[in-house]
Amino acid sequence: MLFNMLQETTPPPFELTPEGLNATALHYGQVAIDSLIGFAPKLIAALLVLWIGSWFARKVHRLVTGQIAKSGKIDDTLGGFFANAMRYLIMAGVLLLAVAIIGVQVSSIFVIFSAMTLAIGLALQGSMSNVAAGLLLIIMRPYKVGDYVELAGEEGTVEDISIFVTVLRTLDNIQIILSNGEVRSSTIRNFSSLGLRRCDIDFGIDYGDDIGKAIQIIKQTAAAHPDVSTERGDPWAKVSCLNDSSVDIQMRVWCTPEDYWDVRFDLLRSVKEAFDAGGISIPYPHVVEIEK
Amino acid sequence: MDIVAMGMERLQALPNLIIEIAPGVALAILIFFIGRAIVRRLSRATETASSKVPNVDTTLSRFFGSTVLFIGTAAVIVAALSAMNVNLAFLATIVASMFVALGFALQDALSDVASGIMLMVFRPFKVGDEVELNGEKGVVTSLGLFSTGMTTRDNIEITVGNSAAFGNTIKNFYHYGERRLDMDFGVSYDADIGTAITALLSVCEGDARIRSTPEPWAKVTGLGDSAVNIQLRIWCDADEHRNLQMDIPERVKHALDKANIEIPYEHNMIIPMKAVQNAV
Repeated sequence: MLFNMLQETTPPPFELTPEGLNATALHYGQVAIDSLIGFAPKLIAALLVLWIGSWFARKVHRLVTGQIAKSGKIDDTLGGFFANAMRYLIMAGVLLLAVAIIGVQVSSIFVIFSAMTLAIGLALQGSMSNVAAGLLLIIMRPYKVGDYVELAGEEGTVEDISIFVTVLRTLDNIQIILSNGEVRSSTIRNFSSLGLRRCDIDFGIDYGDDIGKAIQIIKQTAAAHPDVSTERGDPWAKVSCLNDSSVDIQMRVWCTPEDYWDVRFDLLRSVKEAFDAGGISIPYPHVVEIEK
Repeated sequence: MDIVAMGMERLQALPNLIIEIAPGVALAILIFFIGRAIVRRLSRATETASSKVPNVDTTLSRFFGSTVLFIGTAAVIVAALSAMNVNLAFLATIVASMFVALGFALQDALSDVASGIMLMVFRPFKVGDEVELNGEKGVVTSLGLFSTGMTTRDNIEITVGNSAAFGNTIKNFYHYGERRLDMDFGVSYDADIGTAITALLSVCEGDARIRSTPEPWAKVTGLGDSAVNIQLRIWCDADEHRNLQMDIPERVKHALDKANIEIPYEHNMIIPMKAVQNAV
């Protein structure tokens, strides 16, 4: 650099005489020529770095925009913003490199930048852990768009899986946005991925009723439902519990996840009506009154 | 005399000093002005580029722009100072440690800002939406860089930090425009289920707020201890959900009365001790 050169040679003492001025001018002329010669390669290298860097930044910009346009998942304008941000970041890096090659001390700038990165990293800690969780979710695919799932205690149909959040739509039409970190840190329950679902309903009958008849009615009613699948076995019913006031019979039938709720609600009604017709009663809670 | 001679000596050395320093100063000024021009353009470019993103509003794009301007100007000043051969290593260390300290101290505030930017970019809700953030339900009144403001229906102002809002479950009740209202009613075991369902569905007739598609739905959803539980599901405008919720129960009571269907009390079959002893 210029001033480095100046410090290496001692200038002649300054005198306000024609000879003195002449000597000073000569000295600095010599220094200027020397430093220009010494400086030229650095300048050329810096310009070269700038040129290659800007070419690289443009290339990256085009690549990113192309990929975003191809994927179709990311909004175009948002993608453009990211591509631009990336380009400017690369350009900033290249500029620093060029300045460093010319000889400006940039290490101090780097120290500050690295500290700044640390501060920003601390701020973005939460978001970044969401990104990591989002990547895991996208790679591992514990659920896909359209599945009916329970995530972090919320049930709904998966609408969207993005890098930061998962979006659910509940059956009563509420949008639920869950951060991916939250999703990953709790149980993921997927009701759709394994195909058929088993629908279990408990029916309580009176202790005085005929258990065999009740089971027969349940099985018949269940078999008559058009959406009940026999792929994994016929409707099943057995005494599951001798309860406080009733004998509980559990019915188990198989159906597709889409039909689950219809099957459940339809069978509740039709079994109740079939019990009424067949003389099986569903008892109220019983209390024994003690007299003293 | 001595003092005058010394002064003259110093004065004679001055041009040398100026000539020595001048190139560095010139370079610093050059770096400063060119750098400032570049940073300004960069800041303006950031502002316009970010304002083109649909979800980013003026506040946010200006924030991005000024952030770039601030950081860039600081970098330019540092570059200019180091061009003048000022040793900045000590300054760099101080600034760096300050950043780290501030980063730790402001970690929560900064993560609020980061989440605020996320909320502004992804827009999971907008002003006027009824939402549940961090377990609190209310209508969104403001979207800030640090926090989100809500008003509950009973007029309490709630402020939720953006990292708490973005980090927890967000429920948006208005996003899809329409909602389903679910209401459970218990009818007697002795009542005819078909009649009860018809009576329940009849309360939806003639109400313009209730959508005809999907049409009102009522089915047995449970066989309770003392009552058959029937759920009524109707679709309506998201904004009408709470009004309908307050209008339907009274109408259902009248409709069930008219159809002679009992809404039962809790039942207990009381068996006298003697009967039990006799049975044994």
